[in-house]
Amino acid sequence: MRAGAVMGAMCALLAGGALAETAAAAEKTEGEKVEEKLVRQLPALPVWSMTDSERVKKGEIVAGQDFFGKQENIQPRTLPEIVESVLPEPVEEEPEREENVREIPPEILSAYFEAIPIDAEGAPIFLSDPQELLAQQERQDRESFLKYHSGESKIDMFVYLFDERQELPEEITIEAVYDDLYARRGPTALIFYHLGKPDRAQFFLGNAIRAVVSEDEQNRALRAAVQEAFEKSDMAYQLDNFLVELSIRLYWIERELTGAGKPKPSRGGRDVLEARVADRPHGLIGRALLFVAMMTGVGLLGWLGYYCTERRVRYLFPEVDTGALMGAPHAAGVGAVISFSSAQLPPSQQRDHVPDYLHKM
Amino acid sequence: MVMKCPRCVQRVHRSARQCPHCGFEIGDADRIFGAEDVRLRCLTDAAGVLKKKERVAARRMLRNFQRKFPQLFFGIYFGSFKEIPSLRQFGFWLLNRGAFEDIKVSRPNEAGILLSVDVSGKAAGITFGYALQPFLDDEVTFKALSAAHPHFLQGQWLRASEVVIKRMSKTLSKQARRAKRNPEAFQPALQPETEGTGEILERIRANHRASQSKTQV
Repeated sequence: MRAGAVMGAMCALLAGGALAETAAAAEKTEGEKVEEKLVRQLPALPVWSMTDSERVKKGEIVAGQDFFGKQENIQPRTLPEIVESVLPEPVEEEPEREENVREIPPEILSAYFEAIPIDAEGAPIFLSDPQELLAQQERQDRESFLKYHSGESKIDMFVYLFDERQELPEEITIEAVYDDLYARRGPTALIFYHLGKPDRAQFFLGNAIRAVVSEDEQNRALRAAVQEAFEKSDMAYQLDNFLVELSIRLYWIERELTGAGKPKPSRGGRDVLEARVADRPHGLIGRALLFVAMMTGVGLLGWLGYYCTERRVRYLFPEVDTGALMGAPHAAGVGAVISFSSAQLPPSQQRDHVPDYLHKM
Repeated sequence: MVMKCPRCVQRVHRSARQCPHCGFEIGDADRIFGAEDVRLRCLTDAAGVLKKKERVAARRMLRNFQRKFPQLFFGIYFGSFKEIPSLRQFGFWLLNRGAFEDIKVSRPNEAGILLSVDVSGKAAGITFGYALQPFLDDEVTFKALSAAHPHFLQGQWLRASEVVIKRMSKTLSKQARRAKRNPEAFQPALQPETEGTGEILERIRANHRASQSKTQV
């Protein structure tokens, strides 16, 4: 009974060993298989006998002759076939359609031109940018300037912002927009401005103004504003320059309008030109002075605020438990000691690091 | 929070009763400068270098410091230490033995900063109390003194003091803000027991009167 069990165990072991060999064979790599194949194709190794040894000594045979002789039956080493992978065909990206860039969607157009834009308080918004071409802060800055201009001038500026390449439909012209929305308003300057392309800007003044101000002067104002805009490279700053220059030009147009109601003095054209040239610096100086005064006021207010806050603020420290050091009841915090005996040496070279007992004590 | 010995300027452990390098302790300073407590004001011009107007301005400056830091006080001592051997030890001794008459008891010397200026020896040093140990160090005080160096050179004592106070205030306000945000960062790892501090000074201050004559060092 026991012998039978032992035999069974041995059979199981043998079967297990065979299985392991099979598995090892299966695990042979492709390279090893090729090596085996090549080895099988080689001739069997020569077996040396005493006779061969004698013949070698006599010089009848040369050792290794079989290795370096002809080996016709050896096949060149076979390499695994390279499978050509099929690459996907390059897909050409469709270029962005120019028309899409240029077109303004109808819903945006209605956001522009449905009505004069107003804010939550009902006040007009002077800068229309429903496409949000400007960042919020940039838009607010320009809007503030336009509001400031509106407060200072009788001619309000309404600016519509478009992208560099955008085109308006043929039926929407600056004149049509003015007639639809602004004709019943007071003196208004309407501006269509393409961000990054100041030279595409359009400028339209109300009928009452155009009756007094010549077409040539209007064009000059626009040209000057465009020229100022090109002084900057950043699109937002270009708009800044454009609006500031146009605001200045509108100031002069406004003066001209005011003067139109009065009888013209009997002066030649040259005199009028000279008068204008003489008046203009005063306006600029006034504005500059106003700006300086405002900035000074803001600065003073800021300083006052800082001063008051600084005076009010109290700094408290947490209580720290420290033991007495070197028997000192209150303080052992010894800070730096510097000498100021030499004006030539910097403080770092006059710092007293030396123990007292080495020089004074 | 590295402490240094006032005599050998070597690092000293917080709980050391005397300097492990040179054996210095407060008794050594007492033997040089006197073991008695001295009465003085937070602005003491023993060298007589400040004009009346400057003294008024300096006192105002010190009051402003105290208003800004309700737990602390700043003291300035102008002296001519021809016979006093060490400014560092003197500052250490004065902040431990000085009873500042015009400072309330609620602001102990532990919370004091003392600027000592040796007018004739042309040297200036800063000492501060235990309460400020986590917030100030040697480098901060050196920067404050360095900023005032040009004024010290020209004998502009008031201006120099002003610069030092301004610099120290700036650092302290920063540290106070940091401590407010993270008070644990300024707590020492070890908290050895404190020895009876300030009892003598509290008694002196509580009983002093403004008219009392003060002892000058």
